[in-house]
Amino acid sequence: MESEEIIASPAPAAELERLLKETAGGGMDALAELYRRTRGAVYALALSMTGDAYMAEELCHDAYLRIWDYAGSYRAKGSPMAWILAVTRNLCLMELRKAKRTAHLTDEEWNAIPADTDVSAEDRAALQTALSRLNAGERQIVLLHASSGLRHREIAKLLGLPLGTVLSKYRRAMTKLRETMEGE
Amino acid sequence: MTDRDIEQRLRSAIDNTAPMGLDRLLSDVDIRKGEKTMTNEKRTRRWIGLAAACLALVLLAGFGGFYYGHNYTVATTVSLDVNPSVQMEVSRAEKVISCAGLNDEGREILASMNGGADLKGAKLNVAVNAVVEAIVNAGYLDSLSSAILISVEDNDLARGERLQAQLVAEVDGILQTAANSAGVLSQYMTADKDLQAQAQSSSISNGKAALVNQVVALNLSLDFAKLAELSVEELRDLIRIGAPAMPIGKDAAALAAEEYAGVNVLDSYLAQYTEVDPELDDLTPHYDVELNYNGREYDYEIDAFTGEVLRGLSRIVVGNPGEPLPEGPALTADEAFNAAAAYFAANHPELTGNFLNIKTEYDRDDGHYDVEFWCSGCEFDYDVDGQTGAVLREETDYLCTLPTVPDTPAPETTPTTPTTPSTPAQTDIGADAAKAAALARAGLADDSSVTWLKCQREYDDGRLEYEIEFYAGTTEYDVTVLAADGTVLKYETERAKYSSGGGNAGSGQSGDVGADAARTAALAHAGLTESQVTRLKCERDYDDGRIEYEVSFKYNGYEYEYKLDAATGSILEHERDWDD
Repeated sequence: MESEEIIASPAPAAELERLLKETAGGGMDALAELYRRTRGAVYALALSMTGDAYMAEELCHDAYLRIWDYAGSYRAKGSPMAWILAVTRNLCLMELRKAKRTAHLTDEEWNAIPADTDVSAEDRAALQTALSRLNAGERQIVLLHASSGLRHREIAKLLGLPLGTVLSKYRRAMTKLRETMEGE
Repeated sequence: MTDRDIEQRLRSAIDNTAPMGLDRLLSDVDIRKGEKTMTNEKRTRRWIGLAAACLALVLLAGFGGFYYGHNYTVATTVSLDVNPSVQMEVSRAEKVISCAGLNDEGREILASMNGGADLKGAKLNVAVNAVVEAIVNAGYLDSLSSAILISVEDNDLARGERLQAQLVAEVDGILQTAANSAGVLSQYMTADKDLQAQAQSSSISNGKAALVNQVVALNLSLDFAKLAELSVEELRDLIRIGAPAMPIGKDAAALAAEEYAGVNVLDSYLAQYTEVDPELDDLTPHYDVELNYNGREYDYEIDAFTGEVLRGLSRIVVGNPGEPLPEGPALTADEAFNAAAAYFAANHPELTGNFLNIKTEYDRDDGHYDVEFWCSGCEFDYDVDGQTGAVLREETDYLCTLPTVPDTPAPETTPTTPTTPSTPAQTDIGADAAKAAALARAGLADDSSVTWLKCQREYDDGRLEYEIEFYAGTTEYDVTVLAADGTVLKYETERAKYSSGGGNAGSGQSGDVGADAARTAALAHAGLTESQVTRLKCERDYDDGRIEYEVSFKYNGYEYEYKLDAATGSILEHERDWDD
C-alpha cells in the first residue's frame, strides 16, 4: 500500500457511502481512501473533545478500526460523515469516561500540537487560538464546521444541541478567532 | 478577515496536524482480518464442545446427588432485559439449567438458539455473551441512549454480587466493541415470591419487575402492568425525571407520527419502517420517530406524555393513497438556486455582494434542495422544495450584523422601524398581543393561573420575535411568537423539576437569601472582592420551579457567571470564560 501522504478534500456523501460499502465488504483500498477523505474531520473531533494531541491520534486510529469492524451496520441515510463522526464521538466519550476526565486544560497544555508537522506559522496560530481561546463547545462546533463539511444543523444533531445554540456558539467563536488573528 | 478565511486556515492546520497513520491502520486491519476468522472458528468449536459436554453430562448423570445438586439445582436466576426479556436459571456450578424468552421479542432473540435449549449446560458467561450479541445484532442497542438491565437473583449474597460484577464486565466488553455506547444497568436481589408473582402476571423478568417497582415508588398513580410494557431505557429515564406521568409508549408514538403524516405502515407498501427512540430525559420528554416513506426519511418528535406532535411534516402523502410520489424533483438545480436567490434578494436588500461558493444539492430523503452560498462575508443556507420551489427554511450567520434591539418592547400595534436604515422594516403586534398568543397556545384563557412570566423581544433568524417564558401550575412554558403577526414559532413545555410546595413562584419565597448574599457568595467562590471586579450584575430569576439568582462579573479578561439557589444561597452552576 502506498504511503498516506496525500491529503484529499472531503468527498460527497454518495462517494463516502460507496467507500463504506466497499469497506464493509473487506475492501482495504476503500478503507484507505475513506481514511484519506475523512481523517481531518475525525481527528478534529477527537482533538476538540480530548484536547490532547496524543490521545486524539490514538482515538482516530481506534475509530477507523471500529469503522472497519462495523461498516456493514451503516444504513444508507445520506449522511455517512455524520455516522463516521458519531462512531468517533462515542469512542471519545467512552475514553473520557474511562479516564474520568473532561477536556478542561490550561493554555500550556493546549500547546501540545505536534511540532514536527508542515503547518505554517499562521495556520498553527489559528489552530492554537481555536484550541486555547475557545471553550469546549465552541471548539467542537468550529472545528467540525471547518473540517467535516457538515452543516450547522447536522452538527447540532451530532452533538445533541439545539440549532440556535450551535449557531450562537459558532458566531461567538468566530468573533473570538477574528479578534485574535487580526490583533496579531 | 472573513469566516471563510478563518475556516480555511483551521482546515489547513488540521489537515497538516492530523496523524499520518494509514500504514499502521492497514497493518492492524490485516491482523484483525485473521483474528476475525479465528474467533468465528473458535466459537464454532466451542458450540460443538458444549454439545459434546452436554451429552457427556447426560451419560454421567447417575453419579450421585452432589453432582446433581451442583449442576441441576437452581442457585441463581439471571435476567437480561432491553425490550427483549430473557431469563436464565443457573446452577451452583454456574451453568445454565434453562433459558427462556419471557416476551415475544425475547423469544425471537432465542429463535436461532433453538428457543434457548442450545444454551442449556453452557457456562453462564458464554450464554450471556451469546444472548447479548444476538440482542445487539438485532439492533435493540443501536441508539446512544439505549440501555440493558442485568439482574442477578441469588440468596447467597457473595456469589450473587460476584456474578453481577462478572456479567457487567462481560456485557460491557461486548458493547465496547460494538459501535454504540448503550448503558449497562445491573442489580443484585434475593428471591422474593411477591415480586415473582408480579413479574409472572406481566410476563416480564423478576429483575424488570424490580425496576418497574422503582418507578411506581416515585409515582404511586402509575400502573404496574402498563409500565411493564415499556423498555428498560424508558423505565431508566422515567426514574431519572421523577416519573411525572405514564409515557404513551413507542407504539403509540409511532402511530401518532404516522397519523399526523397521513400514512399507515400497515396499509401502504410505500412506508417501509418506522423507528422510535425514546428521549424521556430530554428537556421536553418526547419520542423521536423516524418514518421512512416512499424512499424518504421523515423525522417527528412526539410528546412523551400527551402524544402531541411537537415537530415534523404533516400530510406527506400526495395524490391518492398508495400512489407513488414522483421519483425526482420537478425543479432543476438552477431553478432551485434561483428560488433561493430571489428569497435572499427580497429579505436582505442591503446585501449587494456577489454570490460565492454556491452549492446546490438535492436531498432525496427530505425531497428538497439544499442551497448554500456566501455573500458579503456571511453564509446563507436554504431548503427549497424540490417540487414547488418554495423556500422552506433559511439558515444564516448574518445575525451578527443586525442592529441591537432595544430592551423595552415597542407599544402595541405600533410599527417598529429598526435602528439602522439598512435593515428592512418589520411590523410588531406588541408584547401584550404576543403574550396573549402564547397563553392561547398553552390553552389558557388569561393569565390568572400564571405564576411568573418573562417576555423578551429580540431578532432571531433575521426577524423580530418575542421569547415568552411562563409558569402555570407545575408546568414551565417556553413560547416564541413572530412579532409580525403573532404566529407561534416554537412551543415547548417542561414539568418543573423542583416544586416549591405548589408555591407562588413570583411573589417571594420564605427562604430567599437576597441579592446581596448571592453576590457575596459568588465573589467568595471566585476568590475576588467587589472592588476588584467590573460589570457586577445580579438578577433574580425563576427557573426549574424555583427562584434563582444569576450573578455575573468581569475580572482580568475573564467573564464569571454564577447561578445560585435563592432559598439556600448554594451555587448551582458556575462558569468562567474569556470575555468576548
